[in-house]
Amino acid sequence: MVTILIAFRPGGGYHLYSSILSEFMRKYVPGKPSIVLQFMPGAGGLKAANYFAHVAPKDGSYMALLSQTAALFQRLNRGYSKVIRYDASKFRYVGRLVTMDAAHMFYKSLETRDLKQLKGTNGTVIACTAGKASQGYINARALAAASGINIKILTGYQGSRAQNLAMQQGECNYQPGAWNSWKARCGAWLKQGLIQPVALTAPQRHPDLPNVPTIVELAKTPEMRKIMSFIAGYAAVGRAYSMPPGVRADRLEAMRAAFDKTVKDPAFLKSTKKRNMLLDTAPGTEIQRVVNGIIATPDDVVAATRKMLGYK
Amino acid sequence: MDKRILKTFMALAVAGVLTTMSAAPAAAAELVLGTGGIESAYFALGNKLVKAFALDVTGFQVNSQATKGDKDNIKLLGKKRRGAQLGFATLGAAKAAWNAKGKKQNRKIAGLISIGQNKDGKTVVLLASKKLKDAHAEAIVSYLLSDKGKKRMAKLRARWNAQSGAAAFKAAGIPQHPGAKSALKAMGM
Repeated sequence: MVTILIAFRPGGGYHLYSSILSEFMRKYVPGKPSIVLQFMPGAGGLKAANYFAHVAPKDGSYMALLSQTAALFQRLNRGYSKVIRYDASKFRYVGRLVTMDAAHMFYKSLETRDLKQLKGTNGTVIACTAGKASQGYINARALAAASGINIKILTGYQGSRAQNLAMQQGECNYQPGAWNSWKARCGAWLKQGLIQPVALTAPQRHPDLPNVPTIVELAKTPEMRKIMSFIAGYAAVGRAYSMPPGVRADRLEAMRAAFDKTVKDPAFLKSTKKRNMLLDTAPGTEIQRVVNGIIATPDDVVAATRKMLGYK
Repeated sequence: MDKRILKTFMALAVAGVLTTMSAAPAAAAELVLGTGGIESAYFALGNKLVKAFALDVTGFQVNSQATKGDKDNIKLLGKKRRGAQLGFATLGAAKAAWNAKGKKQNRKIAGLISIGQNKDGKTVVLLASKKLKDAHAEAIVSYLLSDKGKKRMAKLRARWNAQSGAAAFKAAGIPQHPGAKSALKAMGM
């Protein structure tokens, strides 16, 4: 039996992607084992990442879908926090199903949604986010720094539902969130023009949004571009599966081969299409390179990023 | 053939058909089992139970969720979204939730079976969400009380003493799931 550890509660995107993967991947894994899911929510994915690094079996029977920000948070907090007890660069990546580019959505209640016109404004753009350590908060601070807009960032809005409601009620007019989720959840809003993506947290532009710049492009100085590239790295990690540190090389290779075959399987592709699930797959070796790049970010860039985020 | 063995066999056969039928249209149904904290005995037991289902039961899949313990499990069983369908709890915690006043009251739970006693001597039970399909409850109870299920759990070295739990649930005032009742009836228990 193979277990996929999921760092969040059942019922969300992490669950859906893992469920489909487990259904189709088993036939490509030697011995065709059952693949079950194990949910381990807590501390924004930290609990599962620590468990995966230190407790999970290393015999090839365990994979994980951790938070896409695991590497970013590790690097951002290295030397500042003792609760992060994993090293994302030591995880052995099997493959990625989809990127998690964050779209910065401006609501129609804003008089203009033109970043150039909004540059220099103070408190006109208001974001609603979960908390200071959340992806939403980091993204909002990043957009503010890259675009020169002084964005007011509200915290305490747990989950996209609460944040969407806050936008509708006029408490805020801006919300960053995964482009895939926006497409899946708020297709009608997009069609009606209620929300408009003005920027993307991603290493490069998304094929769906060829006219929407990335935060890296918006950055005006080389230093700022380094900060934005560091932050945008997590989007490229996306929904990536990994095996624990120290797993046997032959087991890793078997899982990587099974993953690569699964994502090309016509039945798998048909099933994901039927469920409106986006795919942007990448092999494990590529994700390993992305994660290693995030972890190798120089100290001065990390310090500047922390300052930009207002972290002490 | 012993009447009881025959009844057990029939219950398993019915459950097998039902679960196969329920899984026929799309992917196998997924159930979530609320276990316990990652260092707790119930987290480990939950992983063994999940393995037993994966090895022996077809038609639906049981996944596990690490939780904060029985109160959390009971809460998850009552949730409309992103909850669990199965969960471990002490009978006392289940009774307390069932009989609580106000917001703490949870009557969205149902009993499946009892699974033994914890180190404090308290009866531990496997609960279900009231909304768990009868066919799934029936298949779960039939399997766990069968020789095959008991042997599997013994082979996995689980601290496991599955019993019908009917008297315990009755004494606690917690209804047993209709699927569990029909499985017990079919097994002559």
